[in-house]
Amino acid sequence: MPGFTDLTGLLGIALATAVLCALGLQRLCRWRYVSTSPRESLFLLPAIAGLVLLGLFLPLGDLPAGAYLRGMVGDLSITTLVLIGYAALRQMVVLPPMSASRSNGAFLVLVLAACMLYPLALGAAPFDSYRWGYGEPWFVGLLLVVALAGLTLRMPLVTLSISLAVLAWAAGWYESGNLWDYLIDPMVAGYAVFALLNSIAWLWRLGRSR
Amino acid sequence: MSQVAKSRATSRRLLPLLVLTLIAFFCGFFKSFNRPAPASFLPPADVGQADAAPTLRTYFVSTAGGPHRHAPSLVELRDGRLRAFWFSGSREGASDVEIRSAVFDPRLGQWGAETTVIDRMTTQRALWRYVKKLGNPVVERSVDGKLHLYYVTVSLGGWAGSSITTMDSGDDGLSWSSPRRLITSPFLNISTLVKGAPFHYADGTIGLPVYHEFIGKFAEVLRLDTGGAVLDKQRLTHGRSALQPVVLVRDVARAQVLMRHGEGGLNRVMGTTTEDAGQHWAPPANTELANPSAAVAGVALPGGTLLTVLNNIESNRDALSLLASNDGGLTWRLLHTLEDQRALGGQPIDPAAYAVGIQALAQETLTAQGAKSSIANAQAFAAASSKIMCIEQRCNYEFSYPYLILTARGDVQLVYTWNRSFIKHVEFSHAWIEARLKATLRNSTKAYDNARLH
Repeated sequence: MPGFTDLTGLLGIALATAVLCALGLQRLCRWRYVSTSPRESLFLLPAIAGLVLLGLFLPLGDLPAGAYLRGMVGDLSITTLVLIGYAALRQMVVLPPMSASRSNGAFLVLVLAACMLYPLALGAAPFDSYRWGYGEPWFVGLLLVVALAGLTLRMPLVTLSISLAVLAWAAGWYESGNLWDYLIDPMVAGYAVFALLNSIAWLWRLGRSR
Repeated sequence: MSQVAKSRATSRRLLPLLVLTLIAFFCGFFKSFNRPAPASFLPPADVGQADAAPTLRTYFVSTAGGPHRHAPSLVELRDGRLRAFWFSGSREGASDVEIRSAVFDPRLGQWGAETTVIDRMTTQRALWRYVKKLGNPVVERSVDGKLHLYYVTVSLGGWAGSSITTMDSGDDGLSWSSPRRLITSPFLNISTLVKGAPFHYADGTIGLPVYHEFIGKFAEVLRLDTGGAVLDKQRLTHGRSALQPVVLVRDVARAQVLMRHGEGGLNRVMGTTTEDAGQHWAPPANTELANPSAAVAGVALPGGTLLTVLNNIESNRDALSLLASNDGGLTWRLLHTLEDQRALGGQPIDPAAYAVGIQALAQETLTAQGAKSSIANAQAFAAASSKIMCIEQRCNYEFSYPYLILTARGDVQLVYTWNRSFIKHVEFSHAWIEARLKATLRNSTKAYDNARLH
């Protein structure tokens, strides 16, 4: 029987994979002109995700299939789970769409965080920003400011991600004791960079067509 | 709906989120303000004057030939025996590599049978994630008396994809807790490795020297609690300059770190120092110790004298020496040459000459060890070493990956990789170290006086 943090880690990665597979499959259907209505999505998406989730907990040799994925990518940040959860709820039309400026704002926060974390963590300078994540009070204070700014600027996903990440870190949800691991991971950082570049390219094309 | 009403409705919708934020940050600040305060180092305890005879004894930890053996580490048990750990398998990085251990009884002067502590499959089952291979183990005894074993595990790629797994034992290594992974890097938790001996802080927390190999090659110190939680991390170097740090704690505030140089180094051991128990570290610089980018080991004696064992040469790993410093690592002098095959000029030799050489070296140790039928054993040593160290009829000597500890009696114990096929153990008694320190100090003073006269 896995320990608590193994269970939360496995569950996080299995849930994320399952939802992404279901979303991908639906997008593929749309691409193939097999449209699904919002009402169908409400049932189809959880059903597909549930099947994939079940598959990831089936034993493959010594371990559940999801454990191989976990071996490679580690535990997913709370931000990744919040964004994937939002995408699923959007698909099921439970939540309204977010304006482009607000979603780009959220991605910009992630990209800035990634720029502040990864180059230093990989040895680019004598100091290491990852160290702040071991409970540096001013770092927690900075996050509070960003979370409140998210509320003020009507970017609830930013506030929700940061708040849940801080809560999960305080509760010891994952095996990591570092707050950064709850806030960001390379997958969501990569996606934010891609999404932001995509928006910039779209704006550039729009400017040129005018 | 008017603008004001719309704004009020939005604010009402965000109210639960504001409450969640306040609760989350209350918990976050509570955890943050309750983290352990910085602590001073726990220096080695003074053992007083030794009354035993000066002795230097050599042993092989295991005399059974066969697998590849590498990266040993050592810990003193409660009853004064020693327990060694190393990794062993068909080759370095193979999936059959396991962490093995044996116990040395100093009263009998004998190593017991080697046993498996953990293998790859057991590790991956316990960690609930795929593990591809195992690597370097290091061990320490925390203030609560438990043994803590830290070893390298790789899930993705080569050694640059490493992370550290830990487990502990309350019965001096007879049984072990379930392995747990240390999370030490935000980038997929890859590329943190161990080699240097852990040390202690005065509050009972553990200092674990580690290094990073993916993109950058740099040294760090982790601070852990006895439960294996990472409390803090301090960078010693950056860029691609150094790896495999060893922390030599001189007193409550001062420590010298020795590191194998990274890419583009000057064939010198890199060093850095702290004067405030690791809160700040001096910029790393080359020491006067020559080294071919190979692991070094070190220990600080209670009086502040530093000892190191390393390949004190600029290329190859065919010589190994014990050196001492009385000035905090500024200058070093040779105390003893442990292995020396430099007469071959670093060139590979043919298998027949290699087998003869290995037999002679093994015979010397086995005779000193008092092993029976040592000639047959020496031949077995030659066969085992040749199998690993001879490639396409060209053979090399290798004496590497030293690991030093200071025992409660004040003796210094060394283990190192002997031709990647055996683990060799050297025991320097407290009296032997004292005598050599005095003799070499006299010699170096005489040499200094002669130089001044001429």
